[in-house]
Amino acid sequence: MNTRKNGSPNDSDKWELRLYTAGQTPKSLAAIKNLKRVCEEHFAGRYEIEIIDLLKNPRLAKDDQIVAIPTLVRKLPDPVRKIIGDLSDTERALVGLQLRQQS
Amino acid sequence: MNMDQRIESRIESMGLELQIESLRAQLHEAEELRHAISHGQVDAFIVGPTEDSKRVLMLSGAYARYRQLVEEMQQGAVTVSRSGEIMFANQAFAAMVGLAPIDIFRVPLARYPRPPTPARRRSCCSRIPARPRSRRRCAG
Repeated sequence: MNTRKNGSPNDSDKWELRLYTAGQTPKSLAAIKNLKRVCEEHFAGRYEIEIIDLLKNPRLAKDDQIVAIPTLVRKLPDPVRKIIGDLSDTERALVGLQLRQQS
Repeated sequence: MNMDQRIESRIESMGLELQIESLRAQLHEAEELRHAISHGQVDAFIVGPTEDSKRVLMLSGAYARYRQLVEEMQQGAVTVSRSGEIMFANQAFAAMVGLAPIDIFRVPLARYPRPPTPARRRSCCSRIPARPRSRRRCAG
């Protein structure tokens, strides 16, 4: 996989993200909005977002061992990372996605 | 320490490192969850085996049931912000405009055909011949 030695992604990496939601709860909608903003700002044109509604497909929660909603799973670049919450704390979201070092 | 003992010790050390790494990841995830809950960033949980949607526990029970009713009813429904952006659209409205509900979020309502105004509705109705009203019979 095309990643740096410390695990942080490269500028050319393709991003594959999976967002788990529960219908259109306020936090799910906020997570979608915040995620799209982060993607457009940091890796426009290189990302794919799959939104999984666990009200419709609750069984899919097992795949990524989801316990709270919304949860974002970074499938690519490796390694898989999980970020729980509506991504309203941009700084924390960027650290979770390894786009920024923890201060 | 002979060679065999050194190899054994190295293997044991590598096993412990992997275990530490795995525990670190679990601790990180538990900390993430605790932080998200304490900062009000989640509003639903998966409880127990995930066989049906009843296992998705919303933080506000009665409100969630009402919300599900609105989401799944046959009539199109939207809520709009003061600036005219769609903040919520149910599945029926999304089907009317041919998009997924989440793709309508923050889209200006003005983009979609407007429903007839009362004046237009009256002018449409005036062209339809009035049907004779049936008489109600009252039992004396």
